[in-house]
Amino acid sequence: MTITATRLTKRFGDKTAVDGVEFEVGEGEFFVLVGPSGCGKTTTLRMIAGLESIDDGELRMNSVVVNETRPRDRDIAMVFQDYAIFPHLSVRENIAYGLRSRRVATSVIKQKVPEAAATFRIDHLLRRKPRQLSGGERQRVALARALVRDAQAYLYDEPLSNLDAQLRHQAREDILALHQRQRKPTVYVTHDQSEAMSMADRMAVMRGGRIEQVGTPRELYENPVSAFVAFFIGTPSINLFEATLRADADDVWLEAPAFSLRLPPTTASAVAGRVGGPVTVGIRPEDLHPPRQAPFDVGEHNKFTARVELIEPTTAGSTVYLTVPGPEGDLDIAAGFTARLPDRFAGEQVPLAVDLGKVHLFDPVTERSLLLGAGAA
Amino acid sequence: MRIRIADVTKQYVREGSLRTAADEPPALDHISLDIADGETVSVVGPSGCGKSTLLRLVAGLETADSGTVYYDEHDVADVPPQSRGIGMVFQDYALYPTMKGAGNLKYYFDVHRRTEEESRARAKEIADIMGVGFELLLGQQTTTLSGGEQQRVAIARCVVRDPTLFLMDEPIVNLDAKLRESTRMEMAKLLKRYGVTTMFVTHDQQEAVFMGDRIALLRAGRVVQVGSFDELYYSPANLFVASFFGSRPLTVLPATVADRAVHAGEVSWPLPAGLADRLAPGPVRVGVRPEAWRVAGAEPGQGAPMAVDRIESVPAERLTLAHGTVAGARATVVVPAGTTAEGLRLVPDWDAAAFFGADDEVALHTPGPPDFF
Amino acid sequence: MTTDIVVDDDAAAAEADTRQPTTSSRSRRRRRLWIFLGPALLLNLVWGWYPLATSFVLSFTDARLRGDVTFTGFESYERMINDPLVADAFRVSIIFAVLSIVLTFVVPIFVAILLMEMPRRTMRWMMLLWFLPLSSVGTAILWRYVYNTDYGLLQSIATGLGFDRQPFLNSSDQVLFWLVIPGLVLYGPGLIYLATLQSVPTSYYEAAEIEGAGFWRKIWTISLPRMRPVILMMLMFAVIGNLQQFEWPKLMTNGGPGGASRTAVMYVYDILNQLRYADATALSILLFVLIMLIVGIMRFAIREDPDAPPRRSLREFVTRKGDL
Repeated sequence: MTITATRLTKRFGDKTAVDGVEFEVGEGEFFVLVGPSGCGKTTTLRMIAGLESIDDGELRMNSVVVNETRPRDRDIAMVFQDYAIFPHLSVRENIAYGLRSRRVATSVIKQKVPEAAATFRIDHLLRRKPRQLSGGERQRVALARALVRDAQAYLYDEPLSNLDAQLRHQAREDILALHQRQRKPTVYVTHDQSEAMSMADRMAVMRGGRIEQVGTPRELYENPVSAFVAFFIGTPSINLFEATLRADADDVWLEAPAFSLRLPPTTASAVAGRVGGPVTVGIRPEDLHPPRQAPFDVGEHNKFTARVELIEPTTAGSTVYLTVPGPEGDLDIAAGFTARLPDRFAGEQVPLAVDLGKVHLFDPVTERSLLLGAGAA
Repeated sequence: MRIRIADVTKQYVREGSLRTAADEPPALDHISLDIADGETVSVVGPSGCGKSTLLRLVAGLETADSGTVYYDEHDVADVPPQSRGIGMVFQDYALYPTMKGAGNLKYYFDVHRRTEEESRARAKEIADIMGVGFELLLGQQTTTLSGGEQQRVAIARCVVRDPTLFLMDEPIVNLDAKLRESTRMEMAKLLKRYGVTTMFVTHDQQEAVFMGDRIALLRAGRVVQVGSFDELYYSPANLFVASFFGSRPLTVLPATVADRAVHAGEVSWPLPAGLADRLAPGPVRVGVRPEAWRVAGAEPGQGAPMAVDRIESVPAERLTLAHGTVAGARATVVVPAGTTAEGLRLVPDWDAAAFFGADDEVALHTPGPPDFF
Repeated sequence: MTTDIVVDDDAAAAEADTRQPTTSSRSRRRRRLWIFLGPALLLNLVWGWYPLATSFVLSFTDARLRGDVTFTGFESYERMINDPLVADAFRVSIIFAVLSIVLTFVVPIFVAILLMEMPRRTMRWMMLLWFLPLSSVGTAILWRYVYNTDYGLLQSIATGLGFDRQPFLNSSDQVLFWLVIPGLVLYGPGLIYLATLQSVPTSYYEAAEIEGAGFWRKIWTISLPRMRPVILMMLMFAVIGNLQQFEWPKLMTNGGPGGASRTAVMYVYDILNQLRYADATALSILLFVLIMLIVGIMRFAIREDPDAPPRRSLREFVTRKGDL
């Protein structure tokens, strides 16, 4: 089965929550909708489920328009943020709920429910009531309920947001295991980009009711079409600041208030028409290196200094938060080092080497990328 | 100000019963913890570990059954919360909904009968510290603000009264991931600037590491370990600490130490001499971090085969991960880019592996922080 | 490994020092508790428990308005139990209670469920109509007009539809039925049901819908179980209230015709009017015992909490009844 959304629109009063959203979820694809709260991702998911009416546009499942189809006739399974398992029913009855609703034979239920429960390691809890379960176990009941029915599509509404960090990882693997088993189109909503990046086959970043960009996690990370997508993908967030493009005899330079950086030839030619004007520069924290550890030659053209404010130890090294003083306020910079920066550097000025081959440039007004051709957007 | 929590125990009385039920575990079980002047200590633990109770106890919102809380050298048992000079920030912001942002800030001065000029001047000062756009928030009704904006007002309200102690109870848990990142940065800068003693409660280990000079890990009402990130991560006191920290899960292999080697499932790994001398033969559990695995050579017997569920690439960290099973245990492993799922064989990096008791969780050997510099 | 777990002698000594203040703050807290609870407890004692105790004592005497009071043991109880009118009054009370519970208790459950299905605006208007605050004396006068056999509203409707003239409240067979009907509008616990239903997370219904549940299945598997604690509580109130019914039959029929709507409490009132204090209190105590018995059985037999784990055996229930 496939799910196709064409100009999906939803209004609440005079507010447009979802504004002409388009995407296609292919056979067996894991598709993630991600965005900040209020971006319309949950409303979009609820329209696919049939829990919200569609004001405009078309929703197709297998090329059949299902705009007016009732939720229970869409043959979907959904896992809710609060799990929505019924507290007055035992685990067994919760899992069997959909089968009983569809009048499946008792003998089949007796066989399938323990099977689904075993998949999520809750087969020893079948007699319990949800109150006696931990948060992680409740979530697995919801997953088992979704699995047991062999639905045609799976929908998830922030299913991990109520779990402790320690349980989240296992739950993520559980969801992916279910997906690999069923191979049905799946739409997964989250506000957590790292969750989206690690789970998605393809993903869509939403903002203000619209989709900013659709693509594989790697595409979104490497070629963001807008400053928003660049900012949204990746932790710590990309460093964004204003600079002016200046050209001398051979090269194009980025002039920031406290430093200048020389653009590599390919990048320079892409923005040749904008010399003299302002641009928004995006540099990922992981593209800033201590000069001696940089995997490229470092000179005055790709280096600037900043003062260390905070050093956060990470398992891979450290994230260093720095500031560059400027005439109009300090510029905050985050840098992800693969080595640990010793604490004695706190408050010190340190040089940073910039991997300029990976720099992103955006139009300061439209926020669109200047490096991607029109086709990429 | 220095905070000293000395051997505090607290047991909630179960509803409907007059006595403390003996089978009910205490919410706080002989907890002792020091927070030095100007220090930020993160108190972290899974839900129900007693971390919020501890914070409420320091605030004076709960009373201890036994034990004492000292502010500097003063026992504060008889000091009501409003007289303790603390600033508290709650998970649900707890702003006064009937007032605008500015009213929330000035409330304290109104209650304490300060002059209008003084309160206005102070509110202005705070707004400058809180940064760009903050004054706009002050003019708005708090109910119309977003979660992040509400929390900024709540933090400002806390700062405005010049507290000698900050108590924060999961202040940013209700914000979405991106907003959390910027808000915690703002808070960290603020704390650094003021140097106010702070207790920061959270369930998120990453947030605890970010905010805290030191981190106290709680479980079931007890302090399991207190220390810096490096101490907790590289020298965990037990298996619980080891598996609590780290952004990706620790692999725990049930194994046996015998004949100067580790036997796990069907594989045997010879131990380096130093380690073999230190470990007594017998059953153990080996904890291996995702980044502490090495891909073994092709020759047989050289490592445990991994049954790979999926290979994931993490562009933001320039990493490739393999998820699957090694020697019967769930494992997430950092592998070189381009690694394929077939024929993947792994050896733990013994310089980075930790050993725990098979029955208890106590650490038998921990690697200690690697030589960073 | 460095930790700051300080358990040295200083700390222990400090703890010993401070035990005193902690206790004093707790006892202060307790004192404050009593100050707040005191007035309410006092009132309850004076106006609630004292009269109850007195009437209990009175029921074992031959108390009259004047004269000496002597202890008579169970004489007044014997007299009451042998009084055929007492049996009649209890019968009326019980039939009234059963009728009233079936009609005014069960129907609103379904009305509330149906209201939840309506659009928001319609629901609000219906709620307003249904739950108008009405004074019982006022409505009694109104309903007396409705039931009037000569010029009443219901009579005109009945004759208009071609039925014979109906006796309504004048028939000793039908009087209880007609008395109960106004309760549908008056004493509906529907508002409480609605409030309960509104507190059920909508995701339950959405999940059920996606799982393929139809209208009735959603009611049966979600609405009713979620309402169960409230339904049981209201049932308890309904039993207690209806068995003590007095005001409504007093206003509408004054017990007629021929005692066919004279409830137990009305009979107590009649005996009091004859100044037979001992008999009246004895009858009250009998009614009290009956109600306690029914309520006790209900509490024992019906599990209130729908989310509690299944009860294994009666013995386990008895040993763990503290949980109830």
